[in-house]
Amino acid sequence: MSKTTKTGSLVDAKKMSAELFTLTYGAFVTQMLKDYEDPQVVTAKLDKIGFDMGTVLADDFLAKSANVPRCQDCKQIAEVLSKLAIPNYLGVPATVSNWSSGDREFSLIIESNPLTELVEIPDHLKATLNYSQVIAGAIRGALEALHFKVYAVAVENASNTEIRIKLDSILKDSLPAGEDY
Amino acid sequence: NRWKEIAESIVDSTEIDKYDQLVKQAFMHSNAETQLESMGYRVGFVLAERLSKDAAKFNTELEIVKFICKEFWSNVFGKQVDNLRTNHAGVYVVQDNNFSMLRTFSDSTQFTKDIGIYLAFPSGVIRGALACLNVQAIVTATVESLPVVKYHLQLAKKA
Repeated sequence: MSKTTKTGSLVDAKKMSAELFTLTYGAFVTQMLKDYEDPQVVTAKLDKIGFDMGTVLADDFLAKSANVPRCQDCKQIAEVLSKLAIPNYLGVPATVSNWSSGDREFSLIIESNPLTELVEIPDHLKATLNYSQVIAGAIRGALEALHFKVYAVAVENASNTEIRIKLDSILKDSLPAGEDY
Repeated sequence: NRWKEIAESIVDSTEIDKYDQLVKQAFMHSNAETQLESMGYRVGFVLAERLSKDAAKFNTELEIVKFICKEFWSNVFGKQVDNLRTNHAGVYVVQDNNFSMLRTFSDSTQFTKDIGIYLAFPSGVIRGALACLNVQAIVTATVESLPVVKYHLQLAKKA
């Protein structure tokens, strides 16, 4: 997900062309819309896919960033997400805003969401399809792997993507996320 | 099983019109591989459109294939192709010794049998890119050992 260099070849073999990524995601969502015929089902599927990605990403994140302290409250979660996790995995910065419900609910604003570059969502889908829900799902999955149960939903605004996150509870169970209870 | 349904219900070939809808459905019902391929086609088409807008005019088929192998390949798959051969009769063999979409597999022959589904998407990308540059082609991929891949581009004759 990095920008290509001027010569066109990618510096890091592990990174992929941003355009290829964006277009592939677009084609993927389009295909899902054709297959499921219901935008709300597609949103739910994207959330599930994101969730599964998130549980794996949480491990990767912890392995890479050893000096991040354990989060105690929502403020710290928001800080780590916006300053470390999102820039690391999405390649763009995010800002935190719109605190509510006693600091248990906040928004992450992603100004130039790579998923929505080159993308125009048709009017009739705007209300029912959360195009970037995969990001919200990934956040939910990653936090659940770290024992924070949250609700996350991705909303497309005119100029940015807003991910609304609400902390529900801190899980006490020590079973890893994704396992059957 | 749709085919079975049709085959059983049609006794006389003249009756096929009656089952027109069913026949259409059977054809529409594509498998995962063709769906991935068509997703790739769309992606490749748009990518080629974006990448070729500043390119010099292509005069020959070979120039188009070269563009795909150099600029397009390095922008999309991160590197240029390693080998390009042609029989000068519309068949090109493109070899990439370290194909970006296969790098996550272990280097061996262990998975070569199951790799087809992973190559459907990039094959579509290449076919779409060629189509964008007004070359209709059949693109097939073969893998002998990972992550080396050979694409056979069979270009259609210009009318």
